[in-house]
Amino acid sequence: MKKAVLLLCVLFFVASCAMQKVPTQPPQTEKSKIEQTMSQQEEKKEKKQPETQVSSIVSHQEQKEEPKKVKVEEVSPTMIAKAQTTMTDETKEQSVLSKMIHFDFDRYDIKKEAQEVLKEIAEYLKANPEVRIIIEGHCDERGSREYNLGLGMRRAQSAKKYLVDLGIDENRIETISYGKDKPLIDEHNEEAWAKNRRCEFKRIA
Amino acid sequence: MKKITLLVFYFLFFASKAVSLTIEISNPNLRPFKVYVENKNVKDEVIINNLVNYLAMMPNILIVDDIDNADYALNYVKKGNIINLNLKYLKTAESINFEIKKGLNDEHEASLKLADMVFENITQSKGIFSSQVVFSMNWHGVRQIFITDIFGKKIRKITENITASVAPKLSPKGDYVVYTRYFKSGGTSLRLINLKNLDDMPVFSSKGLNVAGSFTEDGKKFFFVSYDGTISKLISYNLTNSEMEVLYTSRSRIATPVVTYNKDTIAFVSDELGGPQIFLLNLKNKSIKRITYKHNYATSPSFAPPGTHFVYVALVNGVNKVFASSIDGNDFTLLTPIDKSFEDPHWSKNERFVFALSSDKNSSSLYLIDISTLRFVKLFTLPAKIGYLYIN
Repeated sequence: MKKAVLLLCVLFFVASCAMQKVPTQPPQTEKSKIEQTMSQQEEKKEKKQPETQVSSIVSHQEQKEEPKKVKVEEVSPTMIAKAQTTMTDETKEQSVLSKMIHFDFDRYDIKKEAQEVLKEIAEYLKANPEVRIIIEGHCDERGSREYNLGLGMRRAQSAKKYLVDLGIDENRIETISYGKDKPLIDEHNEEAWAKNRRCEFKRIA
Repeated sequence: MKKITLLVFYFLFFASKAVSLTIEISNPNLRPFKVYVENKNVKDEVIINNLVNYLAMMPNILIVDDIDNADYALNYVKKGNIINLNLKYLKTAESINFEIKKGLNDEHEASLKLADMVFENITQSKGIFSSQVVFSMNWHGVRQIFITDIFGKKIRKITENITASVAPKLSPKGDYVVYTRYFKSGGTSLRLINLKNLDDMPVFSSKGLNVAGSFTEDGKKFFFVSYDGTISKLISYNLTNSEMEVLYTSRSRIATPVVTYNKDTIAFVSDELGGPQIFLLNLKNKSIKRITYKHNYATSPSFAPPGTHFVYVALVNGVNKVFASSIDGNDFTLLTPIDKSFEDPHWSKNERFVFALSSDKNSSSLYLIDISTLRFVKLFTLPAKIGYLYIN
């Protein structure tokens, strides 16, 4: 009888470990979210998390997310047409950071001409150690928006890795992808697609 | 002979009457149902006019002028504040009545609900008029999330974020929207809007991308992918207790995790083998199985409710084309045999139609495609390039 109980306990323990469920706090307050992140980061230092745990990817500093109320606004087609202004791009750079690198279709490897641009950017970053940048990955219009988000992210990561290999501190470089949401040229031809498959470099304010 | 029995139902704020009815349906999927509207020229009833217009837009319903050529007859009688709509199956003369009270707050919504009920009685399949559509669109320079119905009426903006908001997904009952919000300095946050109490709650944020796929059929969970540019994690989020569970981890890019209507599997897009293809993940043993082989570039899966077929987008000569396929790949059809790109295909609730979006430089149109006849119906056009469209 005792053996059976012991066996059940062991089975229960093993089963709970195998579930890999990571209970997280309900998304209540900014404070609780930050605390959760910080404690997870500390925990991470102590023991290496298995790759499958959610907490290992909750490590972003920017957790200024708060609950809020939705303000529903009814809109008409006329209002929609008026709202189609150019996408906001408040961080337009005039320096070396205004240069872009380009990619082949569905690829994210750094081409030879892109290497030259990245070397210039690395030199600029070395000369301006206070500057932090964000690399935006972009894609052409072909394929689905969600798949292209991932592709843009890979492109941005490739560019980041190249800069890090050139000696830039990885903490100075953030990456993001806009997929095909922000085309440079809104046309449907090879020339436009080639220009839209790119990474842009922007200074973080 | 197919029999149905209709029970008493409720119509908005009051009870409507229905009678027990037996209808014979012949060839339900192969020809349009012909409906004769006896007093369709009477334009004074918004709800009735909307109903007739909505039914006329359905590829499997044909409004005919000759009652001798019709399967059904629709007519209505106004008695004071009440409209009595009668749908008669002409072969047996059996009929059903719908009682509608005038002066409702939202006549458009009432029309959609009525259209669903009439459509369901005629076609013996689920109505699609109450489906909701969410999408992301540029709004004065920043992408925001919008919700509307399948006719593009009553469009509502439901986010007001200073950074881009994209990839919204609706719960099956239309009570929740999960979406992705960008951070200015990299990283994204997954947020959940409760459309009943209008709470917009943060769910999960990290560096990289966090993009939701679809909710489960019961609406209690949704799936999302967290991708940092190196590792993709396919995660489920439980709305009841906020628990997250990593279902699959990969060094490939993963996108669009969606339900397959088989509780043991979900589908997703991955570049595991080079270009994007669609895979099934077995939730029990975590094995994956590729289900698209005919194209080098296959994305955006959406499954038909029984789970036997799915639609997806394949890139063919630079054009996004929508294909329907059985899970085993044997039953395979091109749904968009025209030189126009389509994206975001979604199978309708009644398995009969597929919704798909097509955009030009300054406008986007939502189409309904009849699977059986490949007839296209344009449901609405908006003067903007919209994206990330999702329909529940």
